[in-house]
Amino acid sequence: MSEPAAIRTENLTKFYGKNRGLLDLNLEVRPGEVFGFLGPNGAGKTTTIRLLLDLIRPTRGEARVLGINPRTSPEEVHRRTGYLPGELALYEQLTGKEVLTFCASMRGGIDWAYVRQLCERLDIDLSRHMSELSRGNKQKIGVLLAFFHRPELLILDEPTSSLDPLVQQEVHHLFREATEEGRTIFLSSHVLSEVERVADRVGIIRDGTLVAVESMKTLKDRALRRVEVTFAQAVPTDSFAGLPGVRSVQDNGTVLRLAVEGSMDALVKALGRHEVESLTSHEADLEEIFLSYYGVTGDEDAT
Amino acid sequence: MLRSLFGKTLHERGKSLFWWCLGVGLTVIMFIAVYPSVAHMPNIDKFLEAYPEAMRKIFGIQDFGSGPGYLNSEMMSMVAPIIFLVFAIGFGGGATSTEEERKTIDLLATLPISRVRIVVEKALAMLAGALMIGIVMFACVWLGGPLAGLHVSTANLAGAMLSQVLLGLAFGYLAMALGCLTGKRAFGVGAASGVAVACFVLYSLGTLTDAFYRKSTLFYQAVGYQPLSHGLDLSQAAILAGFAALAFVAAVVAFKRRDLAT
Repeated sequence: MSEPAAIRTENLTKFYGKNRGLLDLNLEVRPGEVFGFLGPNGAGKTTTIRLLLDLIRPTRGEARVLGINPRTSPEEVHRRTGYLPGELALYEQLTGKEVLTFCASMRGGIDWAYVRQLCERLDIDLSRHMSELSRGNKQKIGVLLAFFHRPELLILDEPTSSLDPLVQQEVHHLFREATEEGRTIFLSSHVLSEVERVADRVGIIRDGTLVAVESMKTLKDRALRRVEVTFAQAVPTDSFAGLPGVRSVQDNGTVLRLAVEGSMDALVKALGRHEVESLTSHEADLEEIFLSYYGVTGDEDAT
Repeated sequence: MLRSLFGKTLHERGKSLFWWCLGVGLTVIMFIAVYPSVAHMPNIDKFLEAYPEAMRKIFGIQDFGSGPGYLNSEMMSMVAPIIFLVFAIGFGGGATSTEEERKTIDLLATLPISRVRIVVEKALAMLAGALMIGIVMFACVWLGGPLAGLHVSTANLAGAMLSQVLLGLAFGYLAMALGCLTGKRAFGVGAASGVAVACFVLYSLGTLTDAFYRKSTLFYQAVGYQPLSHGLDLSQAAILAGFAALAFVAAVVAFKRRDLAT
């Protein structure tokens, strides 16, 4: 590859005193992709992001952002990236326009036409003071501040968590436009649904350690889904336990609870032979994805 | 105003700076307005002799009859230092730590400006604020004094104000360095205030007993030799400026090295 990786880390490690924040992270994010960085709260996502931006310094290991070492040239990294902090705080006494003017001055200019377009799409009112804005409206300003200078790399820490669904969708459009222009998005989240709609690849982090890096498709195939079926009459559970993909079965008379990995096809076809009153399926949550990666489902044997 | 961090910092402090200047102006005018009645008090010297010697020494009470003498004892030895110290320590202690505590630091420190520049521009904003207060004080005495028959040499007045500003900056940059080092405003303000109070106590005791440490606490360099009466002593001013510069460099180094708070 002639173009350097958008992000590359080598044994990136951060200890807070004796507490481990991040251990030997080796990660490569390719130019032009949306990379989802998935893990529960406290897993080390924000630590990683703040190391990449030189807000904190690694205990050992190295990072390259757009081929640049953030330890030696942080300003160059900052110039070419857009960052949305996980815990966004903006200057309360300033209006949106003032905050934007300040950031734009530091970045050496602004394309007001593009800003107006972004404001329209995200429904942003720049005339209000930050102190008057709701959390969601502040978050939209945060998105604007990350995008307005068209950075090559966007580092977004839980970007759409407090946005309403319509705005979320618009932000996802922005992601797509950015990647179509060859720009890269590094997106952290603790909820799978946020990542799965937009990410090409996903890195899963837990307890400061990278557990896996997979394409979104592979991850979904391995994801566990919880299924609950209510039958008209009691049904023998044995006929389901052996089906491909079915990981665990719990029987409660007419109610059957299952954990299913990957395709549901075999299960649905087996269910078709009985009279089903209701069927619910929960998307796998993160913990369940971890369980599937560790091969432990909690109520069944390991594979 | 919002085109630089310097401008933004002053913009944010604009309202509070306005009230500072107004308060300082009114305080000075009050001192001046009282002057005619004090100066023309019969037997003022006898009255002053009745003061304990300790007080006369610490507050430089010698010569209430003259303008500089009056201002030295009433304003310059205590009230003015408190004004500049409170302003500068408050400003400096929170310069970067407030951004960390309010979590705006992530936004600021990921703009393409270096951490050094962040501290430099904040330090310059503090300098500008302290100068503004100094200029208000100077203007009130310079313009209002003659109306009340209080005459002070312009050069000495300017020198005395500069000393006060430098005293404020020395402790203000100390507070800034402590705030940069810990990311905690309360620590920066608290510790620097504590050091300032300890210095003042040492200075006062030293003045009473003519002890050697009289000149080692920065208060001598700012007010002890009475620049308002004797003119600015450049070497004393240089000591203040040198200490301020040292504290400023410490602030830069501390902020550059640290992990910024989440």
